[in-house]
Amino acid sequence: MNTDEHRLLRRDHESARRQSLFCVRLVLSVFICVGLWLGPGCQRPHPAPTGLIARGQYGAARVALRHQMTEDRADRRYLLDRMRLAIITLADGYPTAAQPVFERVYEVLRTQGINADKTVESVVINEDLKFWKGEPFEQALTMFYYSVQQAMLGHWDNARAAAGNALFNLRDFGDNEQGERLDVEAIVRRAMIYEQARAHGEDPDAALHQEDYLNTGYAVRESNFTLGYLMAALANQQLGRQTEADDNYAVVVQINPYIEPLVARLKSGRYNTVLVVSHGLGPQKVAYGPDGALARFDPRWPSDDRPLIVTVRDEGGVLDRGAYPLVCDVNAMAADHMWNNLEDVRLAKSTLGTTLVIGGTVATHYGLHRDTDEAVYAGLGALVAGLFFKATAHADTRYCDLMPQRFYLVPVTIDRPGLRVDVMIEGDPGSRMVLAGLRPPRRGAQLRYVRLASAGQAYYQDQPPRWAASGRIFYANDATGPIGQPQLPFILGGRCVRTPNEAVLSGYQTAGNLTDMTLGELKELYRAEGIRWDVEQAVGGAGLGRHVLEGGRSMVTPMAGTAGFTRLFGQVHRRYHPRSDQVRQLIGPTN
Amino acid sequence: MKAACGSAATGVLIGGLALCLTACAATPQRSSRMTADDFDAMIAAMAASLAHSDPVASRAADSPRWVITIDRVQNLSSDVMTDAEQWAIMARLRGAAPIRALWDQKNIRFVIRAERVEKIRRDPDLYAFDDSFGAERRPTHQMSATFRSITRATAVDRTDLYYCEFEILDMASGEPVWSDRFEYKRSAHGHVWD
Repeated sequence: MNTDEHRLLRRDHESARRQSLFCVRLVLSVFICVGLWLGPGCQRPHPAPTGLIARGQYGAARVALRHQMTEDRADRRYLLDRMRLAIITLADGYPTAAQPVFERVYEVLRTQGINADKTVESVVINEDLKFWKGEPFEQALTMFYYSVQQAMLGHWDNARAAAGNALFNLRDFGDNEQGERLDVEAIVRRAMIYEQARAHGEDPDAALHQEDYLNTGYAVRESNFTLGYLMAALANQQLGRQTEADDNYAVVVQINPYIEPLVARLKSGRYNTVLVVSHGLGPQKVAYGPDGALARFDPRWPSDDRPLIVTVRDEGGVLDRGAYPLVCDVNAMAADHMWNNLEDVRLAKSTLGTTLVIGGTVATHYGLHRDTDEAVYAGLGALVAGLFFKATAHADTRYCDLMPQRFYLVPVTIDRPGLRVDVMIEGDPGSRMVLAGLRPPRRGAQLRYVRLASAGQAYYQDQPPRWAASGRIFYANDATGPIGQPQLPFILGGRCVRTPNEAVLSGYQTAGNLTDMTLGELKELYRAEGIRWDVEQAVGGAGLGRHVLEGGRSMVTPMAGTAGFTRLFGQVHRRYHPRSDQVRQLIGPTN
Repeated sequence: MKAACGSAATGVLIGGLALCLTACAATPQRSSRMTADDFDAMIAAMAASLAHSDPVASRAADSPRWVITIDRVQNLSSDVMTDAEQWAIMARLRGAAPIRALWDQKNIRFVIRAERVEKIRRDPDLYAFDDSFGAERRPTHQMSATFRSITRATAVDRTDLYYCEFEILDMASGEPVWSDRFEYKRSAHGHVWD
């Protein structure tokens, strides 16, 4: 080789090196730009106030959730925010206020294939690109909640429709050789084996047009969501559709023969009130496996099959007492692959495939150009790409963290006002709640959602919160009417939080209070304090705020027989601190 | 080498662009729920059907007055219809042009339900309404509507066939004087959980 040839070769080499460097920079820039673009998308959702919820402080939790809720329909946490808010608003005893929230949730859940064809993007860019729709078990439970909300309002027809939508078909990948349910890892292994077999034995073009194991390796089977079938049966029963109700009851017994006595009681129709009771916090979603690419649900509250002990009392003693079986264990539901969308499996499999493609490309490139610099740069590019994919391969661990751990369903008879219903999980005194204020329904059956509380955040407590077990009503309210105390509005130092109207004012005046005041003047006092009493007014654009007894400006009474009602009226609250001069003047200098 | 780099860079750019476009593309709606268009078509069809039905067509302006009370829709379909939606359907039917024309031409009136009258009477915020409100209703007929559906679902497809039955009953005899139904179908593709 002469000098000119050598110079030419060096120039070619320099040129190739510069171009190679350019390529690497370009690739790096693209990845950095995509990373920056994704930055906001990688934000985790706001943590739920689980401490408040475990203690039954649903009013404070509801307001906190409302404040952090996104209004952007395109936001990935749009549904998650609403799912949380709807569940806690219901637990707080406000089914009417929960209505608009459930409507949004329902609209999204009824939309199929929102994330269809986004697997590639989520693998190459980020799993968080997907709109969060929750796992199938979270969706079914939310539909169940919507059914409960409609039933609380007495709309059994809509309760039936919502319950029916909770009973969608599931994918069953079956059991292993030992007869145990396949877990996620086993499904990943099977998917990889399937792909390798296909890769070695079939025409590539034909293989390209065929579905993979995740799309074909399962059997479609009907739902085994006992709670959903029970709600569908109840709703049909209330609508007079006994045949359809019996069909649903039959499925329930087939799935879970253990609860046959409960089904027999429901079928008999010897009840006029149904309590849907939940307790604890459902499992949390955690990433695990290589690069956290897989996800599973780990229990936060332990599972067991302890029954719910329910006692109905009046002043004279016990009228009815029974033990009601566990109907739904959310830990078990979340652990079954049928109730998971297995998107993490798809992601893990595709990520592995992508990594292999990159590795192969780099190896080929290195093999073709055994130039040292190029190998370094190509290796660097592959390293960055590999790190990028490694960083984005994590499973999506967003989940609805406010689901309870368990559900019970309890039929009782409330034949007169003044009865107290005492509910407690067997052997767990901390779960006890005494429901006061329930009245017989005007017709048919009524339904109440009761989310039990604990004195602390831990799953087991010796004692419930004091308000939960008091069994008393300390404040006059719209659901149960006046109490024995001299009648005076809470904002004026009394214990009445009823909607101001002629009858209520007349009660004050009969007791010798506000004798010179007109109804218009009384309402003006509330307005001066910024207090609303109509649920539509109170919901408004900002959502239903805290109750006036808890320092808020809402005087909307939660539904009797709920945890929210029990918390608000089952304890004595601090005296009201007025905001307006009018009320300050009326209360006097001592306040 | 230059060509290889150029191709690689072009590939990366095209790939990135494709990803961005795919990610940003509007997600198609894939729901088998009833839509506002379905309700519009149904109301128009039902109003026309009622207006041209024999019992109504044979009436004149001086016929004995029909006072029709309208029930809330009963929803036995697979889709949740909110209370507001159910009342809105009946209100829109009542307000449809062919129905409005019946007021004077056929001496037919539509009134609200007794429960609604009672609620207004008792509403402490509505001072203008006392126990005399609605006392002259005296309905002679009752109109009801029931939604039903048949659902067929596979792993990735769902089809709902909805049909709504409207009926007017003579409250004196209990006989139906008019009934008709309206059907429509909605399909959706994609996993329901996805």
